[in-house]
Amino acid sequence: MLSRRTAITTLLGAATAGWENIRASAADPIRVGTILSVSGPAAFLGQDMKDGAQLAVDEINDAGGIGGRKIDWIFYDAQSQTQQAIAEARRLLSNDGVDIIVGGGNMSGIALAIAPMAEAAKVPFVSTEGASAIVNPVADHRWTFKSTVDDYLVLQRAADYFDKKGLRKIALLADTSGFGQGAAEQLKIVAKERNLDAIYESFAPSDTDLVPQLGRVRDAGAKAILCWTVTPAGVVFLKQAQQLGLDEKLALVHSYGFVTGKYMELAGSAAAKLLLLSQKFVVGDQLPDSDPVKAKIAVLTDSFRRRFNRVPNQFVAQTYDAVYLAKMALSNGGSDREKVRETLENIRDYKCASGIFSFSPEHHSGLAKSNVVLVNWANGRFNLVDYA
Amino acid sequence: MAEPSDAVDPVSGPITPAANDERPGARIGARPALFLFWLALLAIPLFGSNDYVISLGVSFLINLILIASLNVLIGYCGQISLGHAGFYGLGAYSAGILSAKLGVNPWAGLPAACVVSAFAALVIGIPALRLKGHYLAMATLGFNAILSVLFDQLVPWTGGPNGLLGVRPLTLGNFALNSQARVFPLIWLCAGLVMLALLNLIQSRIGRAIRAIATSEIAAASLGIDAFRYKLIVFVLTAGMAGLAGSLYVESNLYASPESFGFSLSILLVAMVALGGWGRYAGAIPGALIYTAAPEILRTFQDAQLLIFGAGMIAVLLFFPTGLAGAADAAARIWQRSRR
Amino acid sequence: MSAGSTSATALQLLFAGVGNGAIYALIALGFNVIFKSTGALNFAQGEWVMLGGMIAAAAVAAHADVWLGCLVAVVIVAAVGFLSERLIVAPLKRPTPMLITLLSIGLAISTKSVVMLALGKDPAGYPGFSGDAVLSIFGARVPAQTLWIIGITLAFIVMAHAFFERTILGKSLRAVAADREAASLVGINVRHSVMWSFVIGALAGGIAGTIITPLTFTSYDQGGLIGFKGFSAAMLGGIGNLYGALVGGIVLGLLETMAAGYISSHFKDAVAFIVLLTILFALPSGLLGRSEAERV
Repeated sequence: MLSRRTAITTLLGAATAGWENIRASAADPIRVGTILSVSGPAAFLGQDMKDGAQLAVDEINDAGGIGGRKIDWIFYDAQSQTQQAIAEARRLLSNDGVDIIVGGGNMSGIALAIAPMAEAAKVPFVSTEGASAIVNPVADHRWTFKSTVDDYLVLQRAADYFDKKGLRKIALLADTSGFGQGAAEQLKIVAKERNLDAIYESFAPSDTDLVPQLGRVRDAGAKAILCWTVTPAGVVFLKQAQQLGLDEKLALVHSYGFVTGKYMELAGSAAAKLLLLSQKFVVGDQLPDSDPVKAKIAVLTDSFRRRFNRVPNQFVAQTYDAVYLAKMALSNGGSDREKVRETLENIRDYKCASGIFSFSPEHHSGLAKSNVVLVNWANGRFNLVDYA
Repeated sequence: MAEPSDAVDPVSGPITPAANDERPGARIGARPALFLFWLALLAIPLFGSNDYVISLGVSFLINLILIASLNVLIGYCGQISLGHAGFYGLGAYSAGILSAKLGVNPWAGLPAACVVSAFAALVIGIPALRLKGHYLAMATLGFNAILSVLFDQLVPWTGGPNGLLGVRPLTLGNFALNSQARVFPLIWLCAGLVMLALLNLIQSRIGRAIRAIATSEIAAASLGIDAFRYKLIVFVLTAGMAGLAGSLYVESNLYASPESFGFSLSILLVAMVALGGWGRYAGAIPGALIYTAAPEILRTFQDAQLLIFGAGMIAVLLFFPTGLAGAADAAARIWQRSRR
Repeated sequence: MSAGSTSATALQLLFAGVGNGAIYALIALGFNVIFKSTGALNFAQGEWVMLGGMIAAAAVAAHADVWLGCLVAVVIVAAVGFLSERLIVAPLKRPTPMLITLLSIGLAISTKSVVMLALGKDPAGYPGFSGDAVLSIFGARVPAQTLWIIGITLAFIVMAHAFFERTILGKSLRAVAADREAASLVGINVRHSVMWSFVIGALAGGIAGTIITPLTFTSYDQGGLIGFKGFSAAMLGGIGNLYGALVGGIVLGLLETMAAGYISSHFKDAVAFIVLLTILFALPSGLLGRSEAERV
């Protein structure tokens, strides 16, 4: 028989235990999980993306965290392998109990594999990868969001430029990765809408000889070549196009996955006439002052330089912004995952370094076409060529 | 104890003493040991704290099927196959496509995967196994390379580089095996059956025949053993097992992508067989353990993990050329001798 | 398409194919030398190629002249070959082919990771021996570097032939390859020969790496794929056969390029391998190999 004393002690104990829990959760860290590839073929942009996320997390924590709770940032290297990434996503979801996942391995294939896992676990996932299939159809991807611009929109932007220059017959030289293939699928749609005569060639990401493809493109009479890859094969493309004399006759355009000084330097003189589709980030200082994100770009460039001692590129901005998007949602929802998800879905006109983000229940891809510009490489840096 | 000569033999020549001397598993009854070990594995879903830990158990079992079957081929049969990952992938995609694209009951995928991989092995094996030396290595490597291209390019069927999505989980009535904990018993059962089958194989007449062939094909032929036939049987069987592993993989992950089945995995599997101890039945277990656990353990070392793995592999092979299982055997023998 | 441009295209593809093929030939040669002396398949061969390119790139980035950078790289890679042998073969009491093959897998992984840690993950490259010069040959536009590649490969093969035919060391390597026991009976130090074969194998790999990188660029993880192609070329030519390496390499290079040019660039690897395997089914010892006598 419980004595009165025991009963009171027990009740008090239970009450204070409950109170302790509330107190603890206020100081409990918010767990943010990130999967990126910092080794393997996708590594060269993975490291930049990791540093971008790191900067954002540190900034947020230095400012006191989210609602008084610090971010416990858990990072795993996908090593450019989907299988690895799946195991790590599982670890984040069941072992580490993360509140949100930011970053899908910097490979579209990995993000595509993580999305269903996030959906099943009902954990929000902000992907920093390119393929529009990551968030479509929206009905099956309630928990997945994309902080990058859709390849469909980038191609529409390219079509804008081709219209301006009167180029109708274009060739897409895409690699066989998820990134390249996604573009091929979307171009079929865009070409129809914009009345472009498109021919399609492809190569394996590890290919070192594109002469057969370039020969066919030249013989078919294309006026522009759009190359879609993130691998060094894109440099081989430039060199061999120069070798065949194509850089004199055709417009050569690279996708936003290729906008990095390392590749431009490797290409040397072959990059002289190249144009690239890009986010505004790399030419931030050359944007007109009226541009809404110019200031944000300057701020990020400065803080990144001070922290990491090198100039940031748009990959840095991609993850930096993704973390801030997560922060916005987490400030509202905390550990209530559904609330976090809803907040993400309703973000409108949020200005970040990559551009202006707007999501909606029908549209889980945050950036619009107006965030894409065309740049070239000269004087050791990227320069704005075509603004709007 | 008979030592194989170290004259220059083709890589497929005679192997370690273990495959030649004493009946495999004679020291401790192999079947009871297997049975006990298998029961012990049930601790994983019972005590595993979350899905992630159980998923490691599932991976271990699938990897065990792959490595044990390859071990029998390389260690007992003396044939180097560099295409094991290809058969694995073929099984995975066969089962996955049946379920995701053709709407067939996922249960049919398991036997289908075995059959497809076994058939492919038959097609390659018939010309390849008639010849000595590295011919099988080259043929299987080429086969793996061709499959990788097909997995990548046949987009309407395989989903291409983005992988195969939409694989439906196995179901028992209304109960879907769509979590690691739920799918574990099935994988546990299948892997157990495979290990039992392999044990039976190496202790059977066929097993004795292939060990004779591995020692000396000429001598075996003089005893009336048709080397080609037995090598083909083992090649086809082990490929079928790899196919089964593939179907289990795709049903537990509900996803498959081409890069998981490339020739670099084939080479890594051979390395795991070696680390565990080729030609030793129990060698598959440390091999599969290392393969499953190493990425998890080494994860904290970030960039250095590859180096640790490579250097570790060299170290193990230099000090224990018969692999970890061989080292354990040698240690046991020393201990037994010291007790006398 | 006019007749002129068809033949120009064919010539273009021919030069590309032979250029790639020459590289495969060099790798196959290195592979064969080690195979002949140890019986093992050297899985680190491709990493040595990558190493040559990466070191040369690092040297050029440190303001060395391209020729000097390549020379330095080749010397270092040959030294790495020597060290590799000391590490994975010399300590073995019983250096069986299987064991050395497996150790070479560990060596490949280790080499790759050391490069990643020391030289980074970024792709690397440098200008060719004649810069970016391109020659016009009957309508085909051929980079000068391709001609350098073909020339250097041929020179190397000729030197290798002279080495194996005329020098004592070369002849002793051949003796060991033919019959180890007999060779050691006549006083040839078998262990030393194995060491030299590793040096030569690495040398061939390093040279291949330095001359191809201006055209293809390289990075720490490019070794596996090219090593695999080299192995295929070696099998095609007849494993262990010096001239087989040349023939096998050129044939494989041409197969790939022609398949990409005339059949499909999507499936070019598959086509090349199907043809390769078909040739091997018909001629199991490879194009130039002689079937080995059955060991009784």
